[in-house]
Amino acid sequence: MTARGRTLLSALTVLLIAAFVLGLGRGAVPISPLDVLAILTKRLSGRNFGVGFTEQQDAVLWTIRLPRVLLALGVGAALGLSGAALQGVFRNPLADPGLIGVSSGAAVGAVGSIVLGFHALGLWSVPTAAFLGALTAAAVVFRAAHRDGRVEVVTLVLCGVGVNALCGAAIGLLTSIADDDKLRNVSFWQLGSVGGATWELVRALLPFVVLALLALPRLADELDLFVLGEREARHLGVRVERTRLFVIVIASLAAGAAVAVAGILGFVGLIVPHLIRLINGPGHRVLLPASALGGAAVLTLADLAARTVTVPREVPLGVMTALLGAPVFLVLLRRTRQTSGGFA
Amino acid sequence: MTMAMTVTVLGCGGIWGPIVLTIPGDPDESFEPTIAHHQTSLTPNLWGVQLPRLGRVADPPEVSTSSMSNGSRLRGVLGVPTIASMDLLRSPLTHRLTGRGVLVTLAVALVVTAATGVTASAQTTTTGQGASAERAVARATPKLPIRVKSVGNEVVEVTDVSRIVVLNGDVNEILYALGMGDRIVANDITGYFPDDAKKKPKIGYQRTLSAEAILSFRPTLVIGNTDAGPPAVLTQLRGAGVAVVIVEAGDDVADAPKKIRRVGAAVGLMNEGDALGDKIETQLRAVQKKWSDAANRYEPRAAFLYLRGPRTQLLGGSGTRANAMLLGAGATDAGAFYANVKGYVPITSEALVQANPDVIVVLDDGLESVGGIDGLMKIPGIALTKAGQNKRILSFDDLKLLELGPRTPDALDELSRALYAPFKK
Amino acid sequence: MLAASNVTVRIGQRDLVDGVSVTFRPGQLTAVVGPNGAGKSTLLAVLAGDLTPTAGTVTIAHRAICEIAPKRLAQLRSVVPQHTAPMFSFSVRQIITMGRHPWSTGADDDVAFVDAAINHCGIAALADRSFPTLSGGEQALVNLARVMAQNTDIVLLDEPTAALDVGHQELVLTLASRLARAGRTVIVVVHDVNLACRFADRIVVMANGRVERDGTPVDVIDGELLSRLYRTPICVVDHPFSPGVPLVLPAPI
Repeated sequence: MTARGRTLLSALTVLLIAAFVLGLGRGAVPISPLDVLAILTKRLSGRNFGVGFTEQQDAVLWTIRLPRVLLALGVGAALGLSGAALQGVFRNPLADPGLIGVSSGAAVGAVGSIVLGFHALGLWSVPTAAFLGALTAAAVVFRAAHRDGRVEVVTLVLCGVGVNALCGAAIGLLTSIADDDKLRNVSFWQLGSVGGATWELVRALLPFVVLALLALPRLADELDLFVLGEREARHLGVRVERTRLFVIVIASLAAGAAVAVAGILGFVGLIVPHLIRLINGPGHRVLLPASALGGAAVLTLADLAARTVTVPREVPLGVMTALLGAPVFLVLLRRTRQTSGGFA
Repeated sequence: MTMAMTVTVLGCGGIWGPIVLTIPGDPDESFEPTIAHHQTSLTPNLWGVQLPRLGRVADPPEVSTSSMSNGSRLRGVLGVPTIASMDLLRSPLTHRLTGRGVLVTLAVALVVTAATGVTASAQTTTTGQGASAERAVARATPKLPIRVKSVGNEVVEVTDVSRIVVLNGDVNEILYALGMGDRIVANDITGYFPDDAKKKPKIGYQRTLSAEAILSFRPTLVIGNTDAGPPAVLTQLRGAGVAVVIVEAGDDVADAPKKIRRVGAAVGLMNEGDALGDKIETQLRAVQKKWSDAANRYEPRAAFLYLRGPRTQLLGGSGTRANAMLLGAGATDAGAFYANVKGYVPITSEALVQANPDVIVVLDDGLESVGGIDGLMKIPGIALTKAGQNKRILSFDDLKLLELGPRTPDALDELSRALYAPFKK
Repeated sequence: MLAASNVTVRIGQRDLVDGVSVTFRPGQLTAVVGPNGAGKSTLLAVLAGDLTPTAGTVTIAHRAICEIAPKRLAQLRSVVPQHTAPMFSFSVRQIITMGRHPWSTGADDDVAFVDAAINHCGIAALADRSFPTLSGGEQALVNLARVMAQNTDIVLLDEPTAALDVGHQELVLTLASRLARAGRTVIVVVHDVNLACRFADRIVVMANGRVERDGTPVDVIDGELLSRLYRTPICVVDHPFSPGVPLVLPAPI
């Protein structure tokens, strides 16, 4: 790893910690960083630094803010990492979890459970349905593109387009038969939010994020080789089919879990890897962990903005990421065209 | 009629009250003066309710019997509350808070004992019926702690009502009616009646709340109805140790008094809540009886349209509060009955033609959002209905029409008057 | 030693390669020539292990290719592609370092191999440039350097000169023949028969999926064969500058 890469990762870690502390401290009930530390220490070890904080601050931090910030971190890391991995494995800078149908599949699951009134699992009904929808869509896309033990990238992308269109139609149908009350829930879900964060949700998301964080960076060198083309990667000893399947499965799980708990959050999986590439180049050894760190930091800060800019109302997180992400995306595109000859 | 009914109810309450109130061991001798005081202090216009003149009192014996049975239902035999009575439980034992074993609740409990509370109301004078009555209601001191059942949850113990955050406009209004307005520290944007409520800090919109925003007001009680959401916010509030009470929003006119009673109980004003609830119940019956002849004779078809700008234009049907009000006024809900609408659906010309209402009912701000009556007429299908052709459009204030709360009898009366007005001429 | 034994590749109704048996030995540069559709690239794909033949086997040192694990195979044979189009802007050095992937040597050794490859190919000036910004000829040299860094006994080149100018063509084939001189088994698929004649120790002429001729350039190249295969009059003369090397020219009609 180059010195530049190490510096970048260190800087991102610092940014992440700052986002974490800020996110815990800011909000409708302000808590100073020292109080944050004091409350956390007391909660985790029972030791009291002296009661500088109120019970209200303690309750807000522990039951509302901390799960929320942790959820934002987890979702951001999952989306950033899976976006970077999918871009590598598809050799496509426009790839993100949505490409393989994860987002739209999750949406069909969630909207379906809201509109058709599937409440069997109580508060878990919608996230579970969303997760299953995400995986089903990704599986359909992959199966459709799989032939003779090979998957062609273009076919896969086209199948993704097809499945996305099908999901869009399904969502349209469901919303047309929904009554006003359900419609409200539907649009609320679709805009994305970590506002409903509870410790249970954090625990549900955690295994998928940890899985992705452990499994994907190991494939960094192989993902680098993908850039030469599948034939060349094979010539260099990469098991292309296996690696690609592995990446798609892990990325779908992580992104599917993220969308299931937080709704549809665009741009994070697309933009963050690009930003990292701009700073440090396309090497996956730095790109993958940096995308995870960067995604986590970006989403936490975006959520902070979403809930402090228009107190007491909250801007839906998906709106915030789009507001921040879209202009950055356009600027990125321009700069890339100028510097490296663009994406011919 | 109303006065007599109220007297009877309060009399019952007065008789049983001391027994009930003394069971936890609180002596209370000051109730007698209170009854007498309430007798003289009925206020005609506290909530804009148009009370019929005393000359047109309805059948007193029938009314008082039902209120008597109300009373006995409430109090049970010998004033000991039964399990069946109104889902309220009283126990001298402390009950642990619902939710998980989190740390003790946010607030320091300000327990106001009945001994000090009820005595205060006895000190008011009889100078001016309205003022003294308001003061009487305002000073009504809650009897705490109290355990109430919240919708979808287990029993909640309410120990302190000094800082209340209200999540919905109807509950807000009920609290003001019970004299708890000064204890409300924040409400949502639908809590705009009475005027004082407009000045309270806002927590957002009832359906898109934020737990943190609510907690920033350091509430000791959060109270709302089943419209409040998203549900995760309520879970977070409970997890933070706040007492959260949710009552049914209701979908029938008869739910209004029930809601009032439940809200009263939730803030420790069981008697006052029951009293107000009974009063509203009687008023509702009176209004419906008043217009029953007209309803039977003319059977108007009315449709309710929910409008919010060009993108949200919905036709109401069965299972909505608008439907409840229309039926309560003796009209046929054209959307539900002729167009088979359930809930709210986007307006289509066919549905409107099928429904073919004689009258269209809308909300004030909804009408404004489509550009007034002219704008409404431009919606496809409207002009084809009888209501459109005769330009019979009735517009009401959102909260007043749909709140199912203290002003519902008055709203029902206004609606009925407007529905039947052309016929009476 | 790389050997193809009775290899047939059938796609649909056509036999792209029909019963081909060839053996390649170290220290030799073999050129595979023939008209379009002769099956040259298909044969190369089979030799590289990209394509499983419908019939027949390919062996390296008597071991069947299909039984060799991909990474081990990558240590035995390398392929210079016709072109690559990476979507992301890796540097030249990074691309060449990718050739070291099959080997689990340390980073220092990798750097040594990469530097050696860069020097051999004479592209030191390009080392830190972004690959997508290079010209076609420069990219071809980088691909060759990558294969050199991969350091395999068997080197396959799939029409490496396809879009190159004369200068780069000479460079690439000179480097390839140097590899052969150093003892590696080098197989090149080319269109230009003259290049084959000048650089190859042995020429395999293919047509319609079969091997027509197999031998030294002098033995294999004759006007009558080429005219028949390419369906245009071709005459073969002695190369004016290189003794013993045939020169192929289209004849006037």
